[in-house]
This record gives sequence, C-alpha cells and structure tokens, in this order.
Amino acid sequence: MPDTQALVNDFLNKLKKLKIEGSQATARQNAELLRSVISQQRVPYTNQAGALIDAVKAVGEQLIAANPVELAVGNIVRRVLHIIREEDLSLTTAAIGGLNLSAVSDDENDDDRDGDSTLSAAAVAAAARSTLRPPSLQTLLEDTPVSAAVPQTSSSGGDSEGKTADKSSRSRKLKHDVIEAVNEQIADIVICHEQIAEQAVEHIHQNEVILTLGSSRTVLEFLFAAKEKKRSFRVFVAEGAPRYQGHLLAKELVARGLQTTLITDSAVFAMISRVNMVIVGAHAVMANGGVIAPVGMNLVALAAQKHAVPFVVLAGSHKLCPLYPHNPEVLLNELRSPSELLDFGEFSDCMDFGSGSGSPLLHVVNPAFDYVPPKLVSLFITDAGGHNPSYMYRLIADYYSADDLVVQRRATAGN
Amino acid sequence: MQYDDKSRVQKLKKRSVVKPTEARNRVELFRHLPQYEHGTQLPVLQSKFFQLDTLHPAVYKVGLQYLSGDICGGNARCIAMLQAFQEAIRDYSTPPAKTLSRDLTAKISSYVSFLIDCRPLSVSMGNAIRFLKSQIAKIPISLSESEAKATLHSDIERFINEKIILADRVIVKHAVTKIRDGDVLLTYGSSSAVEMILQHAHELGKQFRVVIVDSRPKHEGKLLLRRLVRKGLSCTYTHINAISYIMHEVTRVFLGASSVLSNGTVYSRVGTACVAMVAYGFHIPVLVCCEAYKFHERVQLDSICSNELGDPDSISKVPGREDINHLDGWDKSENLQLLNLIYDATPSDYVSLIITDYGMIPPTSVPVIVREYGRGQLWI
Repeated sequence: MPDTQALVNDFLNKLKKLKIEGSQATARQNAELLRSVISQQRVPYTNQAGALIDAVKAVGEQLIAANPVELAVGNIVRRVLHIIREEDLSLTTAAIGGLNLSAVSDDENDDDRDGDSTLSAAAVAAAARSTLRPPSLQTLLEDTPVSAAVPQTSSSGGDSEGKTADKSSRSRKLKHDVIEAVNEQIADIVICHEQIAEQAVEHIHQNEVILTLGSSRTVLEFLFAAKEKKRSFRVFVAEGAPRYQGHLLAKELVARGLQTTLITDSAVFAMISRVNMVIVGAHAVMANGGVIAPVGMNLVALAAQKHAVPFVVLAGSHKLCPLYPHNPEVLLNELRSPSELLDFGEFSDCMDFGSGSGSPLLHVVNPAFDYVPPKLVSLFITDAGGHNPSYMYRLIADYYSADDLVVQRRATAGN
Repeated sequence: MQYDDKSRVQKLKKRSVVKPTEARNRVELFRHLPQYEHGTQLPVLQSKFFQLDTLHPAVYKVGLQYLSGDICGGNARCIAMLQAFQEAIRDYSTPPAKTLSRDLTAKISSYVSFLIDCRPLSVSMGNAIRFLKSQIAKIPISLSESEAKATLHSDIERFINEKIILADRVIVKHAVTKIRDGDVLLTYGSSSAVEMILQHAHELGKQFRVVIVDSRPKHEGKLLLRRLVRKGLSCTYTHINAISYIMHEVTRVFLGASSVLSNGTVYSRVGTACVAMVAYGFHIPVLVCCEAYKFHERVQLDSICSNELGDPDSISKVPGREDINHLDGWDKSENLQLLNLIYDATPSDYVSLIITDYGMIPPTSVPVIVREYGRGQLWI
C-alpha cells in the first residue's frame, strides 16, 4: 500500500503541475497507475469487485480533482471501473451458466441453440441481479461463456454452496482478468494513432486542400499515412495563437515533404472557401458529440459550416467523456496567463489600480479551450471507426457504466 | 495589373524606382497579386532621398512612410498622400509648350506608381486620386498657372475636410445614438472611426465597456487599447481565437472598414470576417462605420481575387516569444509557404448596419450611394 500511495502522489503532482503533455500520455500513465493500485489491492473473500471499485474510486477522486480540465483522467478511471464491473459480471455469469446448463450440448441443432440462448439470457440476467450492474448490450449479445476454468458442480440445488466454492477460485481470477483487460486498454491507448491513421486513405483523395488549426499528433499521423499511400494534397495550417502550435505542425509536415502553407488565425475565413476538408484533433469529446478543442476551433467550425466544408475530428477513444457539457465555455475551460497576450512591462501603466473606483480598467482574457457544438461536426474518426456526432452517446455505454458518472466514494458499502 | 503575367511585370520593373527583389516561396493561390518584396528596400531608398529629380521629396517621404508601416489606416494614408500632392502642386511649374492639365496629370500618375511600388493603394487612396485627376481635367484653359494651382489646392483642402474630417464627425454623431448604458461593445483591430465613436460616447457620459479583439501579426489592437485606457474607458483585451468565449457577453459589435463594395461586402482588415461571423451566430448586431468616399463600384465575392500580401517574415517570428522559433530558415524549404493576408471580405449577410456620413444604411443601399453620389457629383 505505501508503494501505491507514493506512485499516486507522484502522478498527482505531475497532474497539478501540468507536467504531462497531451491526453494520450496522461491516459496511459493513469491506466498504468490504476493497474498497480489494483494489483496491490487486497481483496476480501466476498464481494471483491466492490472492494476493487472502492479502491479505484478513492484514487480516482483525487486524480480528477488534481486537474479537472484534463478529462482523459476521469475517462480512464471510469473505464477501469467499468472493466471491473464487466469482468465481475462475466465471471458470475460463467459460474451460474455452469450451474444451470448442466446439460449443455455441442449440437448445432437450431432448437437446442435457441434453447441455449434463451437460457443464457436468463442466466445472464440472474447473474446480473447478483452482481453490481445491469447487463450491457455487449454482454447480452455475447454467448454464454463456457470457460473451462470454471468448475462445474453437478448439484443444481445447492446454489449457495456452489457459489461460495466458485467464489474462492474466482477471487484470484477477478483481479487477473481485470489486470488483463487494463493491459488491453493500455495497448489500445498506445496504438490509437495507428488505428486512426489507417482510415486516412478512405477520406483523403488526390489534389485535396486540407485545413487544420494548431497541432495534434493524431492529425500528423493521419496526414503522414495518406502521404505514404501516395495521395498528393496540400495543407493550410492556422498557427493557433497564443500557443502557436501550428508552427510546430508546419515544420513537421514540411520535413515529411508535404506542401504546407502557414496562415494566421484571422485568415481562416478568407482561406476556407478554397479548402476541401478541415481535419482537426480534439482535447476531449463529450457525450452529446460536442468537442472540447484548443481555442479557435469554434471559429474554424463555423467558417466550415458556412462554406459547406466537412469538419472532421480525430479522437482516440480515451478522449470520449461520458459527461454532458453544461455551460461548457465556462466550466470546461481554463484561463491562461495574460502575459501570453500582453507584455506586463509594456502595459504596466494600464494596470493602475489607483484610478477612480480602484478597480483595474484593463482585463485580459486568455481561454485555453473552445467548445464546438455537435451540429458543426461532420464526422468523428476514432480508433473504432468513423461515427456521426449523434452516435457518440452509444459508445459510452460500451466503455462506461452509468454508476460511475460521479466518481465519489460512497459512505455506505453498496451492493 | 496582372502580376502573374511575366511580360508586364518585366516592363514594370524597368520603370520603377523601387527595385523589387525576387519573391521567395510564393503561394500559388495568390500569384495574381504583387508579392511582398520590399522588406530590404528601405535603407536603399532612404539613401537616395537627395538624389531624385523625378519625384517630389514630399511624395518620396510619404512613400517611405508607407513602406515602413509608419502610416497605417485608410484615412491616414489618404490624408498624407493628398497633403504631399498639395505640396507637389505648389512647387510645380508648367514646362514650356505643355498644357498644365495634361502635364500635371502625367506627373501625378508617376507619383502614384511610385506609391504603388511602396505599398499597393487602398481604395480610399484610389478614390481620392480619381477625384484629383478629374479636378485637374476640369481646369479651364483660360486660367493662369497660379490661379489653377490655388484652385487645386483648395479643392484638395475641401476634399479632406468634407469627405474625411467632417464625415467622421457625422458618423460619430449617428453612432453614439446606438450606444446605450450598460452596453458591452466589441471592436476588432484599430479603426480611427470606431475609436472616435468610443471616445465621444465616453465623453457624453455613457456607461459601457469595450472588448478589444486583436490578432497577429500587426497587433493593432494594442495601440487602441492603450489610447482608450488612457482616456479612462474600461477595456477587456483578447485575441481573435477567443471570440467564441467572449461573445456571449457582448451586446454590439463596431467594426471599421477599408472599403465597402457594391454588393455590400465589407473589405477590411483580415479577421473582420471571422468576428462578424461569430457575432452573427450569437445574434449580435454588427455595425460597420465607413465614410462614403471609401465606397467603390467594384464587387467581390471572396478574399482571394483581390487582396494585399504582407511580409511573410512577420508570421514566422513572434515578437516577445523567443521560444517560438520553429520556422527559422523557412525560406530554404520549398514546401513551406507563409501567407500574410492584409485584407478580407466580409459577406453582407453578417452586417446589420453601415454608418456613413450619408446616414445609417443597410448594406444593400451601398450601390445606390455609389451611383447617386458617385464620381460626378461629389459635392452634395
């Protein structure tokens, strides 16, 4: 336990001081941290899932509070919680399936298969009642897992005894399964760029003109992949003040041999009439399909809508957040230092508090993020394929559980 | 003038005083416009100041001020040019065996091509030059040289007074009626007309605050900010990317213009279209303040067919942020182009009202003004 606490504190520190660049790195380190927490957590004999969930929630609460704007942190915490619940459910289902379906046959007979499937649905529902959550669409559609590792007891009447016997062997299995699933998650996060980039050739044809704003590694890999497949296209990069990430992206694109033109953000409306497609990255994707993106993106989205240019957002699935944005400009935003806009020394005479009512005459506003409403987005390209903004809420049910939307440790131990 | 036609460009180069260097890394889409090539010319031209015979020194001085960016803004450039022409006309004497009107017109044309070499003409300057040439053409042959020169001098004086200075006062008078107590007014960049409106409204005692939106690379908003804060107005300063964030607080948007074209398109500093688009999306009225002499009968649909290109080096460098140096040596790579547009065209649907010295008109009435009060009848 002291080991994990040190790791947790270390990660908290990094989050608070914004030392981790980018949501992919944050997500990966977060997942690795939670994996260590789980592996070192001692689970009691009964209800291990509950204990694991409590432990992850405890850590997760602190992580989310450290940097609320970095939504990837909360996403991964909720992901891990969902994984725990799912694994618990599937193990329980397997156990109950083993008890009830003592006469499971391997016949490809239709009647038997129907009988099997209805029985398995009932079995799954029964299992669900005894575990922590209602079954998700994924588990219902899956066949009853007849895992060889689950011991089959012959007595159909001695349920409770059978269950305790199962649970003892399940205790080790649960943690093991959960950690495997978390590893899969980490692998997914790491290769999300490649999976998105594979779809590049479907969307970029010859002699295209593409506009982007700021810099996103996903967009970079996407454009490289299209270039590798010998598509010729030109890129307009808007510099993305006040961080000027566009300069970085332009340099990288030029190094790879792509025709690039760097423009100022104010020229976006002027140039967009000659652009075929806008491809951008996102900081986070909300449940309604809205996008939290670097500041200036709403401008590009509005201009693209006016000129009927498709606005494509590339986002790894770790950026999908199950929250609905309420007043997103204010609550999901942070304000950065005014010195990026105005030089303090140069304008020190304007910051005089001694005039009139004593309040300063000059305010400087420097938001970091922008909210793009779902109606301005044409397509989301994630590592799971391309989707409409109206479909994003459905992906949430696959990755998250409804109980975890508010990550808070409950005072009473839940079922 | 078609700058993508090589033979014409060659002819122009032979005649010009300002020797342009070869442009590097031209953006394909803008090959029909004069590329920015003047960055290195200033010291050379400064040394030539005492050696010219074809150019009047006042005109030369104004040209250099344009080149270096000391004079900026439609009204300022127009006034400076007209005053330089006044001096040139005062010192002018007709050579023997030539008529005043033809020779003077030729001289003015040569001055104008020098000014174009320094910096392409703005619409306000173009209209003023047309006015001057028409006045020169109207001089009766019977007039003596000194009388003709005096007439021209007073004509130019009247033009500046009526079309610019008094027009601005009328615009301010109309516009302050649109400002109420508690308003939050947004403006973009630095427009002389809008600045006068804000200062006058503040003097009248109206309670409002101002949001100044600024953008790269010129950061003109900083100058406006400093002047307004000095006068005691409460200001918020932000950059153009943040307008979606700030727009929900704003009640009115005041914009300046370099010109308003006959299809209602507002031709002004690049970024104005973005501001107007976002304001329109938030259902906030956009008021454009423009003197009537800047109207033009030309029409334009987008910002590419006619524009001005600025110095690309000012994009690759960010003043005050030495860490942003990824693009040092950008001209060596042939794949990279930097585009510094100066103007853009705002579609008329985004504009609610245009405030001119002829009153407050919708964008659809601009061709009416151009036709009724156009070239022939400049005096009301």
